[in-house]
Amino acid sequence: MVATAFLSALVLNDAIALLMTPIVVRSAKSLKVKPVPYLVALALAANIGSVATEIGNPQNAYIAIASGIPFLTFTTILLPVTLVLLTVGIGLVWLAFRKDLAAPLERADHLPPVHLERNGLAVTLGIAFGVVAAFFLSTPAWLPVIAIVGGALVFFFVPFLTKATPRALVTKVDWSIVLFFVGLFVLLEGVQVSGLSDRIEEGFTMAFGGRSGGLVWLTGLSAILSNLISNVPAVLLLAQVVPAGSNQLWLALASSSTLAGNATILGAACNVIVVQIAAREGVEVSMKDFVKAGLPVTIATLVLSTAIIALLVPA
Amino acid sequence: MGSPYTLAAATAIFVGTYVLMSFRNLGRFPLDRPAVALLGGALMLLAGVLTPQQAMGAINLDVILLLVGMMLLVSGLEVCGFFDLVSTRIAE
Repeated sequence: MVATAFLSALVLNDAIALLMTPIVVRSAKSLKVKPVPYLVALALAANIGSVATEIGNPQNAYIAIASGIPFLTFTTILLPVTLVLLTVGIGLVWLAFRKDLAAPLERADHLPPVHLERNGLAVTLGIAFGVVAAFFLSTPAWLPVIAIVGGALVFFFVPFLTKATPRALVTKVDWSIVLFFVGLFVLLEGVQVSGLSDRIEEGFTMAFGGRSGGLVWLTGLSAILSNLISNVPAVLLLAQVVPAGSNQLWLALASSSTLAGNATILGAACNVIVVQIAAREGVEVSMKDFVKAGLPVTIATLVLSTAIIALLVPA
Repeated sequence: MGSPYTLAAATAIFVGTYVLMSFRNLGRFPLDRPAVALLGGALMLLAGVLTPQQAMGAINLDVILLLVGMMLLVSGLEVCGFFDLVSTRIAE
């Protein structure tokens, strides 16, 4: 869980969810433990960890551009916040699943033999490291370009070095996630164009007592909206009401939108990815299991992060 | 701002889609979240809430490219046996 959060801070959390889910499922199977607690922990940690930097998740990348807060400023404030939240999160996940996790680890009788394509693996890992290094050195706008170039290189060269055909590589890409995003983007554009999102916003503004609350108001609004319409569109919507130059509100928006996503499976893209990929590996993560750990973690981390940001950053 | 008609249509489609998305299945028929989301998007078009141009413009290609690129990378690692290697290392 710590490793996941660390990686999520450095690379986009969705990518980490993609990378780690098969590892977690297969490790759990070979250790003969229930994979579900570990998968929930993975999704929660990927979200919490992603708060730390401007490249941690797509909504932070958007906030980086919209707010103009330098990378270093952002990280020096939100990295300590993330470390505190992660400690609390690990404790709460353990509490939620203590019965499952208390079972002693049982070693698998025999591990399946590993079939390695050494040349292919060397090249693919080289490309993967190159992509991560490029992520570090680039601005948020370059991230998709770097990713698709890396993907294209793998797509082109790996079939030369292994028995896998290009066709096999393409079918391993989870296209249903891509279609999910396409559908959601169009659906939410409809919500926005029709004026429905304005109504939702007005309703919440009135419910939270107008502009008086500031930090708390924005946190609550972004937490609720993130769960209603997922965090990326919630951030795009709320960015309209955040005044330029208010670091406190921008950072609160970044952390609250991401942390709120932990409450349910649909709250964050990376939860969806973990659940979908786990399903492909034959493991069903139910909404009930997810919420059991996700909701307490969400409430605790939201309260803590808001308090810390209010203390650390002048309004 | 849209007309009262588009507002009502968008509200109905939005609420319907999200309610459907929170179910795993409908009676004995399985429900897939991506399919529900895509249907919701298509209904926004059919109901005239969005023009085709608006719908196309709404699709955030940055996110799609990032996902497809990373997933190709991951499938490359998978066919080379990377995940089997890491998971046996963790298990040992």
